[in-house]
Amino acid sequence: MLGPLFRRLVASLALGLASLALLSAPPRVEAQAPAAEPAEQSASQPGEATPAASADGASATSAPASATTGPRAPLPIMVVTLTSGRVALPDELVAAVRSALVEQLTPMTGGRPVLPLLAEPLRDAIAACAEPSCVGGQIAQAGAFGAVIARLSRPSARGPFRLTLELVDPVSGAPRLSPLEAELASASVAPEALRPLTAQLEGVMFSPPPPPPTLLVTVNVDGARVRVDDQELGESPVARVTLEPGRHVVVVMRAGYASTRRTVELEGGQSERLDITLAADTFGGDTVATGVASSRETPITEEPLFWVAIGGGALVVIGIAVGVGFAVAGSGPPPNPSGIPLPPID
Amino acid sequence: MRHLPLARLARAAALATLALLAASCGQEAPKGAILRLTFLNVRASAVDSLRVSLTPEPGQRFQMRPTQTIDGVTVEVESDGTLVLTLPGDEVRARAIETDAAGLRPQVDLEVWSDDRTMNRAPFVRATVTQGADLIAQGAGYVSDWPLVLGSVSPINVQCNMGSMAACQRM
Repeated sequence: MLGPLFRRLVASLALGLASLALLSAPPRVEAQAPAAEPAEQSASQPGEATPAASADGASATSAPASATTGPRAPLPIMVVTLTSGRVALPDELVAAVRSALVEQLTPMTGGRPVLPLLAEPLRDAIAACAEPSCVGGQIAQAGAFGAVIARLSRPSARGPFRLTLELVDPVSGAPRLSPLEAELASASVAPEALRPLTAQLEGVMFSPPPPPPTLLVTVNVDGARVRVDDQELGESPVARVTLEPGRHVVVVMRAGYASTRRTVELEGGQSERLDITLAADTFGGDTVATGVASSRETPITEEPLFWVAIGGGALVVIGIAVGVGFAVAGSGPPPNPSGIPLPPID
Repeated sequence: MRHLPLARLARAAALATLALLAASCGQEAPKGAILRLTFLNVRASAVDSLRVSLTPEPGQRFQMRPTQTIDGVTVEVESDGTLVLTLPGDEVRARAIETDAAGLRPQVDLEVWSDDRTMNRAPFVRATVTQGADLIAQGAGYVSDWPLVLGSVSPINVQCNMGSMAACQRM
């Protein structure tokens, strides 16, 4: 008779222990997150390891970093130099055209980086394209906001070099204006020869990136320490601060008041204000104060702890329900034995 | 991060399912008591009907119950308080286990149980085998314990009657 009851008790105990183990185990995703962040940040540094600037063809196809996971540099304008024709072109001419284009286009982009495409596989892929959409697809995959394509050729062995310049949109590959043409006698004259062409590009150049967002944190009491992403802004009142686009954590602390933590997500061009109200800490502990934010705060459903609490709570409820169920089932009458039931004897 | 609680819930549900499965193992019904009828010199094919009666000690009786058929066995309480289990020949043959090569010693188990916990003398058991209108074999004994002990075996030998040897060996 004790066998089934004993098994139920063991099963209930095992479930309870497993529930405790699950609740106390460190979440795997949290442990992996810090490892991923540095890679994204390093890849997004302007002029460094960006798809267009990379000599590694594989990285040229990687997607740009997400705006919600960290700061992101503006997408670059890519300078592509292609050569064609039977006559070989001197390397110094190609390099001179490339560097002149980067130098002359950079002031026109409003802050977008202008980066030469050095990755040969991607350059060859663009050169092999027969359709504009093919070129646009390559540019988009490289993570560029647009491209300036310089095609160099030499129709005759002794004649001048011919240069054709195009400003091309990503994805569609559509040119923004008719191809601009010039003739170059040598590499040394490349900057001067290019200047009239690049000047024509200025009017149709891609839009500049939005300015970085700003955040003003106000606190109802003076002298509170204000921190944004581990960067001390000083004691309240603090000035408006310029931040990278993305998610930021604002912490406000003052002795005698409950510290407050807020998460805000900012996009380029945003100018937000966050009003924090510190409540007196009457219990002497570190309780959470109320705060009114005029900016778009992160919903509580996007807070990791919220979901951990929901998941843990649900698990506890399930564990308790199952445990109670087992206990009730275990304390009830045992099931009838198999076979023919005989009536009692009077 | 947002998938973490879902993963936890999924794991919790899996654990709960496992626990329920484990618990359901505990819900397995225990075996009843066995009335083991061993026929001696009686072929199972010779049985038209087997009647097993359980009679309590004098002055006692099984509580009246409506007649019902359980697992091919008709269960009824007669007016004198005797409990009668009746098996048709086909049911006997379906349950019969041959214990010898000649087929003259079949064994039939009847599994019974009772929640009667009163301390009474074990009922007297009488088994009779009929072929047509003739009683060709019979045996008697007692249920080993009362209250019934689950898993216990009460052996009852059912011997072919003198003068019915031919009938008992009908193929």
